[in-house]
Amino acid sequence: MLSRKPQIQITLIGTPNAGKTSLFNYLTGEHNLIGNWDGVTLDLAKSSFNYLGNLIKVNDLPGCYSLVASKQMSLEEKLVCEYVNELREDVFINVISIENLNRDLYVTLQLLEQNCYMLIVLNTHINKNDQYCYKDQQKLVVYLKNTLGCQVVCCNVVTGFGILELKKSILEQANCVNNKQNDFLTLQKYISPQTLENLYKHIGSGLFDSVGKLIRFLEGDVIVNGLQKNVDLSLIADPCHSSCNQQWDVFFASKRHEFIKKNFIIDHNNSSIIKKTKFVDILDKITLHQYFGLPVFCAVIYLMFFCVTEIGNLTQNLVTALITKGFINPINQWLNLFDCPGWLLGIFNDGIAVGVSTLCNFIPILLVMHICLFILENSGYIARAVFLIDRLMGFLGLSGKSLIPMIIGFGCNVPAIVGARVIEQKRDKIITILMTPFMSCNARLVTYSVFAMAFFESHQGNIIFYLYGVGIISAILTGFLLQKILSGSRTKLIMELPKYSIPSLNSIFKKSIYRVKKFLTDSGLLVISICTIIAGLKNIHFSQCDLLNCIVFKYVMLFFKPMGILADNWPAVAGLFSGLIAKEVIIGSLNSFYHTNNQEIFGVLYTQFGGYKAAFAYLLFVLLSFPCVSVVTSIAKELDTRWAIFSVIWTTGLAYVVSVFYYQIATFNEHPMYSTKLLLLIASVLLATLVTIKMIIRSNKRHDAKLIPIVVGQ
Amino acid sequence: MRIILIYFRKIIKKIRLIYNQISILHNIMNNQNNIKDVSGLNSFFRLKIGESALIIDLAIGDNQYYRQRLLAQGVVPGEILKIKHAAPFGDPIEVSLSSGRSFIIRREEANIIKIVKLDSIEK
Repeated sequence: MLSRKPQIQITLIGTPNAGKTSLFNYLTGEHNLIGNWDGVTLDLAKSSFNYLGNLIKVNDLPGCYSLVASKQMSLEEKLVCEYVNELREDVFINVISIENLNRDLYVTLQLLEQNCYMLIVLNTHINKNDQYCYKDQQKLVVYLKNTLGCQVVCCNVVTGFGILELKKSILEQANCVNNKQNDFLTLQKYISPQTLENLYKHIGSGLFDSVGKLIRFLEGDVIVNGLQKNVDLSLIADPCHSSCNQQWDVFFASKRHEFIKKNFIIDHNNSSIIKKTKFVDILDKITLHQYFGLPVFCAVIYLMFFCVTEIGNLTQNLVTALITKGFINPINQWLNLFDCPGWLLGIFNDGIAVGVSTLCNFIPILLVMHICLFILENSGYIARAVFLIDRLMGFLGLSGKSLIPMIIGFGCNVPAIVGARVIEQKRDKIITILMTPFMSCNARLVTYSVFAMAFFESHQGNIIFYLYGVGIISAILTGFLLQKILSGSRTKLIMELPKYSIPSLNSIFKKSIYRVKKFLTDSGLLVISICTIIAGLKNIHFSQCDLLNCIVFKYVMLFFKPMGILADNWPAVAGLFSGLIAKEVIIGSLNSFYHTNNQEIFGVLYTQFGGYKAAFAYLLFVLLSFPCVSVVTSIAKELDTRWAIFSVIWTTGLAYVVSVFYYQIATFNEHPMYSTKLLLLIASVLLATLVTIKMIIRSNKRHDAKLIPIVVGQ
Repeated sequence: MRIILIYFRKIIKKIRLIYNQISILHNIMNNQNNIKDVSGLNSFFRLKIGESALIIDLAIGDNQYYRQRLLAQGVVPGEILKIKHAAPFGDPIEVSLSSGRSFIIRREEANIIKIVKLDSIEK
């Protein structure tokens, strides 16, 4: 006989932005992404922790607003509905936030109807020190316990207050199996017995094993309806209508809200439990103002990039000096002591040392970028930006929600593309995902900053800002064209604006350092190994002439000639190819290609590129061209392979056209004939693509025109 | 400066008026059954910032998920909603309910909520 369960499985469930992932991270020590907007978690996260010798497995579900599944639901919410529908043996932990008590209790009530085996965690923002609040809070906890008939634990998921108590009650809950039936809320509370009888007459009482399923069936749940295919909802709805005169889902929803209102109305102004919101109201008046809202948004974004470029550049020299003095020189001396062979010294100097110093150069910029993004994500401004920008995105046929992946894309494109799952409509999702590769990610930012240092000393920040701008403009262009090609309607917008919160300094630094660390460990090995390989090739006298004489490479160089890459500047092209793996490799490999003992990288860059115009064209190509392999694979995973291929062709084509166009316009005076020829060629290519797009649109319209009569006929 | 501002406001008003008319027309074309509600006083297009309305009913609409979201949000008959903010160009609006919850919706899509505008005196 087993005295205790060897394993306990708990599942975190609740509305979005209630603090599930924060609790998950606190319990298990993971570093999953958290943010102050709806729909940060997109997949079932699994982890485990140990408590008093018991292994407790934790599942973190994405947030959901309602457990009634519907056709148009986004994938991650469907996941929750299916998970609940299976009614596993897990202990469900319903996380509710005290700030949105009456919103979160709606899902709690739905879970109670399902007879879930449940523990409620009340997420608060106060500490135990605050005695007055604490008393109020305990009163609320007791009250919740009595009215809902569940175990309620009060926790602060940020500071960790109350976690111990929670762990204790998880164990208790898991061990007492008798408590499993929770009959507190039943159908009888909502519907009179007479109506119930009437109902069962129409559908047959044996069809549903639980009352909860019946309720969800009546509400029009797709999953439950799929199980009972032979019952027609419209038939049974009618006879009962006479009693309540409403649709079933409206009826149940209003009953639930009534229940919440009756029992849990909290006076927002007087209660000490909820943070005062007067300041927030004033802030909202400015940030959501009808006319000033957009300028404020632009200013915030500009400020972010200003911080990143300026602070990044300020610290960069310092870091480089530190690395050369503290790491490269000592090891060099040490190697010299042992009379190393020249090639080994070469590999170290051109490969490993260059790789390490490149990586260290990333650190300050990345850190500032991640701090900015973290503040933006956690302050709650991002949801307001969605609100402000929605109408403008409407011109692209997109909803404001598409903005979130794009802003995340400034950090890294991969989580941004995964983040597009929040968008329900397939068409919007496709457009958003194809737009995100144009957002300059961290890796590209690093490349820009090195080039900007070498070529544009007086106005580095501006150059980087222009590049970001070009990226955004091409994203808009892409969105506009795709919007014309793909047919379908916008995602409907309904969203809550989260409360403003000021993220603590501690968490800002912890989280952003963690993210930078992750970036470095992920790509560090790659950059260093590629640098080493390049250095090895250089030092074992696989001579440059071999590569240059190679016919294939000659043709490749010819291809890149119109954008200003000189014929003997082969490392630039090789760098571009290494950038296919990951964009941060570009600058690393350029560094080791150009690295010679007596010259700084900036000087070599300048002479090799022959002027800032070619360099800017090169940067344009880096910005727009082929997104790195991981981005392409994630596009293929989120959409399908065809879209991934389309994205590769489209981005690279656009990159080539834009950079050639820029370079030829900029150097028109030097060789007018050649430039005109090229420009004409580009124009004809553009015209051809435009014509094909027009054709596609026309055929789409014809297709639509064919469809309409059928719809009308029905 | 002030003259420019006034002029600017006039232009914006005009644009909004034209936009509203277009959207109303568009709506009429799309769902011919609801012509009365859309062009009538009790549509979301006519609500300005600070005005409130009583929710009467929730139409079925074409998107079940959207309807469920509204229900979960607390949009049930009998509630009173108030326009708190409007975004630039006036379109997404932030609506707060009498229960204290607020959320953003687009005017056009929100028209599945059947409302009756409350006069400003009743506020």
